Amino acid sequence: MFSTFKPALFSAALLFAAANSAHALTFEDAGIFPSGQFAEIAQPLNNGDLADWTSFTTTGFGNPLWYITSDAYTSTYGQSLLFPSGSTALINLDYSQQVAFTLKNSGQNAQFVFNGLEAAAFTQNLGPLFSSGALTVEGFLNGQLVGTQTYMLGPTAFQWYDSGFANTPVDQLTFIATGVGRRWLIDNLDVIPVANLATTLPAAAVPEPETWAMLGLGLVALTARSAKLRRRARRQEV
Amino acid sequence: MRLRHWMSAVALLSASTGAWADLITFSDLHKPAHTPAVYAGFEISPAANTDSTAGILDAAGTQMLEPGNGSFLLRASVPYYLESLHLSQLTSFFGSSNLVTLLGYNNGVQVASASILIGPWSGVATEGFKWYDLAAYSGWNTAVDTLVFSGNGSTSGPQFGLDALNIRPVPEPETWALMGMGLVGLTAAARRRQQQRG
Repeated sequence: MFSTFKPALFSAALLFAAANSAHALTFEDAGIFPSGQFAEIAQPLNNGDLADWTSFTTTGFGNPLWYITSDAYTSTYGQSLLFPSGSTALINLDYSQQVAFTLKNSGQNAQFVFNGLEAAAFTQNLGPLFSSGALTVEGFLNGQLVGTQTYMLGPTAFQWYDSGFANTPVDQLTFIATGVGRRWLIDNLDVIPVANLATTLPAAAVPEPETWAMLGLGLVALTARSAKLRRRARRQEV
Repeated sequence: MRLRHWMSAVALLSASTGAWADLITFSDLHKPAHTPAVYAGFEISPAANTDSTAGILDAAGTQMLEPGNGSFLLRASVPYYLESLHLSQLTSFFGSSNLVTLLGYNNGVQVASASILIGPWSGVATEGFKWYDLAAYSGWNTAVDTLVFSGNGSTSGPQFGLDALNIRPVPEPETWALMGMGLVGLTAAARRRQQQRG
């Protein structure tokens, strides 16, 4: 009975090891705040976390995306909100509904996987017209919609949401609010270039012994199992 | 006049005062440059700067808004009717705007626009602030939640100044109900008085 679960467990061990090496965008870069505690994200993006990310497009007015600090958020909008990943988050201050976010590496579109995000709804202190109670993320690959997931957001606390299509490589994510001008905040966007999935795994800066052990265990067990299956198949042939 | 008549009259009056215009003068607004601010139910976009109205004729209050880079946006927490604007041409090293383009949006849909001529091209702003009535332009009998102001001068200078907005709230259903009740009460009272006389 237990043996049927073994492959699944070993695969899970491999997956966990991969998740540990994930690089998340947490939007921390104090140097980008020339004039207060808000900063416009200009195109092309060339600062901090977002150095390799570009193409913010929007269908409304104003500047598509901004960085905001927790202090600025509280003092401007009268809502205290704990930012879980550092003191800065991403916010859609503009008057639109959609923001598209594309990864480009060395001038070329690169595929990436989207594991999930930490998000919150904008405060209702300015009335319901400003707050997006949900966030829909659509994943595209070569212009085709390959994944979509809607997350229900709360205005008083950030929450982690699993992507829902983490196994599907994408080259663009589109963030859709519940209406025009309705806002969300993202403090942690877990996206990994597909290229890095393969190369950075063994090259992780400080690999923890347990991680290696787990990874090794999973590999050894999978190898053993496949060998066993092969042996059994050969025996049946005989 | 009996108590009931008084009550009807008060109901009618309070309902109508609720629907009276509000004057937004930006005078006690503290807004750092490049940062949004919340003021009198509005969010003022990072692209707007505040400036003193000292030296400009006919100012309503001590402060005005001006575009930092050509245009700015005002978003309200609830839709309202825009009645009129207090605008002046501003001149600076970078030049001036003689035309202010205003777009009004409701829930993301553009419902109104106005191209407002505010002075002679590249002239000196000697005339001061003037009220511009939006009734002269199309669409402003529709409620709006967002205004986008743009000038036609350089995007580097202040171009024009917005000293005040004159807005009228959209009456809420309760307000209509209260007003209706007051009217019914007053009509009933009047009819009764007539009957008593007759």
